[in-house]
Amino acid sequence: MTTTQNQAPAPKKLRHLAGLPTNMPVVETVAFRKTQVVAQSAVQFGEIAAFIGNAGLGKSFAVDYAVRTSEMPSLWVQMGPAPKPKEVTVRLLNQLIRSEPNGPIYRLTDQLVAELAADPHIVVIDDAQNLSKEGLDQIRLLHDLGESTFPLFLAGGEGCGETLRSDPQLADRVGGWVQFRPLDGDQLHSALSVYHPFYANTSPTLIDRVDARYAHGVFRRWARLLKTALPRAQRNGTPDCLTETVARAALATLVHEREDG
Amino acid sequence: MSDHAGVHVTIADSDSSHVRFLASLNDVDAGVISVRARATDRRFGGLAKSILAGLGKSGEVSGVGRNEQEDTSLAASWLVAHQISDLIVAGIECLPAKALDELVRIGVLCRLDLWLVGDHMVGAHAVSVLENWPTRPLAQQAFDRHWRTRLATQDDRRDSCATDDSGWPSEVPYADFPVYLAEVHRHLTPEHAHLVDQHFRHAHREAVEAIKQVDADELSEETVTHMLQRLLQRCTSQPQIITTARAFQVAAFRAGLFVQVDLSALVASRSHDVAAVVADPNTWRKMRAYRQPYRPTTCLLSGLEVDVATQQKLRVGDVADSGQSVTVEGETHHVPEAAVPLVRAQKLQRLAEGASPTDLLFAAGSSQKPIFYRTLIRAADDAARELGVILNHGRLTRTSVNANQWRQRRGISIQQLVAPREGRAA
Repeated sequence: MTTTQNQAPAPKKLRHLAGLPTNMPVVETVAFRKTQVVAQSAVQFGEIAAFIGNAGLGKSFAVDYAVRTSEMPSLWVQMGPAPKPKEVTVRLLNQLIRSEPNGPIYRLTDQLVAELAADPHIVVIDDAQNLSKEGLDQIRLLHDLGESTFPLFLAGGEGCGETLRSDPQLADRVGGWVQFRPLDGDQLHSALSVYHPFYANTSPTLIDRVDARYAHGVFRRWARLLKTALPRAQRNGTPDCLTETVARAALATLVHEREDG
Repeated sequence: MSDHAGVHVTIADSDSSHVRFLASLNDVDAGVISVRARATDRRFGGLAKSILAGLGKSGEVSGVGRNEQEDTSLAASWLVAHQISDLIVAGIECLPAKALDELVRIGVLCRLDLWLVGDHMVGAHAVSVLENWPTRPLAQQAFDRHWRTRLATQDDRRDSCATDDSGWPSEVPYADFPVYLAEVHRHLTPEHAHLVDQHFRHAHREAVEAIKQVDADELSEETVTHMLQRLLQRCTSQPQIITTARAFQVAAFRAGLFVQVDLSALVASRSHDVAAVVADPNTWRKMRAYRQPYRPTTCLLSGLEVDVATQQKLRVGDVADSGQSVTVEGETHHVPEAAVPLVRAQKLQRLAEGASPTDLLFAAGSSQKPIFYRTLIRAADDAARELGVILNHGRLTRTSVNANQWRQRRGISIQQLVAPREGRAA
């Protein structure tokens, strides 16, 4: 479980896949742009915002970008399986005060709320689908007691969306929803063209075939393919675009990787 | 809306703004406490903590404690002491049946209007509990309307409370007592002179009455010191303390006593500062932070110059049921209005612990264990350190100050001019 605390407002190293060329652009898909708008409103009004979508669709990237470009510092916590309310509270408090908090859940809750009221942070709960009903209740309580002094971002897979929507107490408090879906058709081609000239120069037919076989509109897979295909294309003497040969060779390792897990 | 205390149940489709609205209703001075139940509240004790927090008790000061039973008892005492009329509890669907039942029971015992708000639902267990009590279902719209109107009334009341401006001059003449009033009228503006003149005459009347109450043979230095002490205790500024002292000197002179007052020493003693702190409502608002009512009570008594050794002898019955006065060794000390709930809470808590009127006021628990001397002293030090409330002239020793020491520190001396019988002319 990884946690990251960001205290600097200016975007520096963005959440691109490791190993890609430097200075990769930000691809502003519809969901990405919606995330920035919803996040900005949530920060301004101390609201709860939900960002839902399966892994690899750019959800964490978009939320991370919104957080980095906000002037408010943030706490980013990735949830493990079914954490108890105390664990949720302790992990947030630990990040905020940089020490091991101790005490009964009542006092820890009050302490966290007081700390956030005094020094508002954007609280990002990643993999929120891992939260049980108890964990969600605790998150909701923290926000209620804080009286909207801090914005709360819930990012998670499709299971998270169902959980939030089926819980009327939480659903009614969510001020903005952003749904991330796999890219397809013109949206996919357009996004890939902006992403890297390598894809911009590739034939749309090949793009569609690779998508059907491997990527299925999941942007992370296109990123992974780029990382794998670029050096192969160089060696093949076709550095400017994805060819059938390079695609076949790259997918041989990536598809194998996918079958393993 | 019924005027009778009762149990109202509402299911509210709360969003974030409604949550904030409910929280904004909390107003101790208006008699309304609004709290939110937590899913982690396994017993009523957890909710009791929230109620105490709504009453202003802080988790950051001394005496926080972890005893849920004590929290439950204290919550009830404080609700009654502050004359809370309405308790709003949101999120009741979180509460286990036993805790909900305890909540309703306490609401009934404390004669509160209890407003139970379920967040989108109340569980079957809550329904089965509430069936045992006379409850009144209330639609969210009606609930919101009632409380928005009430909130507007509360806001109007807050806005109309003007800050107290005594209108006193910042300085008065340092003239001696035979010519004091004349100098006041000569040097001050007519408005200020009138105010000072009225205060002087009032203090003089009180002093004369006090002297008349005492037999001539018993008019000792100690008795006279005590009278002057009581008068000066109420002075919250330097001009007031000087005027009162001069008025007393006139009354004493007519009774055959020459009371000399070194004004510089009197002013330097800063006793008017402590009196000002005691009289300041903000002092007692700050002292609400303490969960244990013995703390503000001992601080108040110290501010009224009742030494700790004497405090330890006080009985529950020495505090008026209203909390408006405390009788110390036969003398009644009036409690400032803002401190009344705090003192009343101490009496209520002692009674709740099973104390009788003849039991010690400063004791704790059903075992009636006295609160130690050092604990009471520490309470004053805690208040100074944690809240910036200083009610002890800055000195940390708490031994009883005799009349002679009291006079010396204030530059006061008393001489019998004539034999006691001859002096009682006025």
